[in-house]
Amino acid sequence: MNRLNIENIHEDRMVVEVLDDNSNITVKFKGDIDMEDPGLVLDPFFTTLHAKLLEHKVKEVNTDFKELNFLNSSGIKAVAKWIMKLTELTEAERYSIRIQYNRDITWQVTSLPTLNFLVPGVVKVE
Amino acid sequence: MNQTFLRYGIIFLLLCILSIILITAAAGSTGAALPPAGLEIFVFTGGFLLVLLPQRKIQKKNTTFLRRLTDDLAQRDTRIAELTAKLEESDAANVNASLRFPGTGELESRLNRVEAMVRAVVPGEALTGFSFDDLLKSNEFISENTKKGFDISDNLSGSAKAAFEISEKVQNGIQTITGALSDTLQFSEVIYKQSGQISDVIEILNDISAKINLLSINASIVSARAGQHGKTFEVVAREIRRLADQTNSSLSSIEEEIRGIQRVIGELVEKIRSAAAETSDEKAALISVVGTLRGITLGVEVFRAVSKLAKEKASLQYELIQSTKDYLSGLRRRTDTLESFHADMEREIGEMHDTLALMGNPRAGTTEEKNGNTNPA
Repeated sequence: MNRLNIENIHEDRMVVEVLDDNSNITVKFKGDIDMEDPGLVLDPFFTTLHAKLLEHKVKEVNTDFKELNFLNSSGIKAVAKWIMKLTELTEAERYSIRIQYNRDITWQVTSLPTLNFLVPGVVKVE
Repeated sequence: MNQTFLRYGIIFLLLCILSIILITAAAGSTGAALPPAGLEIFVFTGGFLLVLLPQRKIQKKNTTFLRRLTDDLAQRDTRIAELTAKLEESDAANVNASLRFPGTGELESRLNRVEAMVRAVVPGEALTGFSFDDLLKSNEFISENTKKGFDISDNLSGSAKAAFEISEKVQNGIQTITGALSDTLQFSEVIYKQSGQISDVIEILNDISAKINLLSINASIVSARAGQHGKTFEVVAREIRRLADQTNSSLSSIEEEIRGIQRVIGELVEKIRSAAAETSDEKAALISVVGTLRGITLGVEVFRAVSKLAKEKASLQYELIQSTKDYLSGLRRRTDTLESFHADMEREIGEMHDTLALMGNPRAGTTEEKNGNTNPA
């Protein structure tokens, strides 16, 4: 279990793991997020993640989409909603989000960099 | 006193009437002359004294009473004078102590409160139940999100352009593949026809070859048997050789046709190979197009999420501005009322100063005098 005490998600073909190597927190997305409304699972997950990151005063979190084959519109909306929670915080309270994507997957190349514009300077897409 | 005076007066009149009756009766019964004037004087004097003596007693009594009353009034007058003097002093003190300063002070205090209230209702200062900071913060939030929207749309525009270029490349590749397939089909038909002609020629050549062989054999045999007479067959033999030459020529043509067919087939193979390679590349491009369009869809979804949030904030700001507008309208009415009240208070204070000046308070003066606008002399 990670230090945030957040359980991983294994729902249909979607896997979300919270990895903790004692120096970095990484949220890893794998498989396919193609269910009808992934927000039912992802929204509570991101709400808990956001609260725990603030509680533990984590200043940076990695999100790894490299092994995610498919992401539907509702799925990316849930991700966007999580990132936009940062706008409600002061600069001192904010944590940064590093987004890692697979350059061999065209939809990731096209879509994930747009997340960088949600909170400029805080979200880094690599 | 009046009843006593009335009673004696009535008695006096009755005595006078009685005296007149007696005198008249005596004169009538005796026929004598009227009594002498001394009697009348006596009667009247007696009657007068009879009335006057009690009146004198009453007068003395009244005089005593009046003297007492006069003394009392004098004492009262003295006392009133003393009280008046004290009252004047007291009035002055009271005016100074209770009217002049506390009254004006109260009015001035009220005036200050009114002025403070008027200042307080100026927009942007000490507004209760509303904060311009909230409005500005909300406005700033909307501006930031609008900028994000523009940035995202720019990014989407770049992605769409890339998708367009890829799709154009795919379209050109598909056209190339279609042309190659068409050429391949034509070459295939040519090959098919040529192959049929070759079969016919080969068949003919086989027959000719067989006949030539048979004729050449027969000619040789006949020519040898005939001897001198067989020389005519020599002509046949030459014809056979000529046919043999034609056969060789036909075979050369066949070889040439075969080489042409081989060349065409080679080109066909090359084109098919090229088309296969092209198809393979464009297949990857097609997959890339699909992925790009998928990414654009997701990017648009992100933009939509931002726009939705901005829309909600804009709606909230609209309500806030509307409330502000209503609040300021109320403030404007209150300001008008307070300004009117403020003017009344200033006038009231001026009137108070004037009143104090008229009462002779040396410490007060008219409003104009206080302002130095008039000469006190």
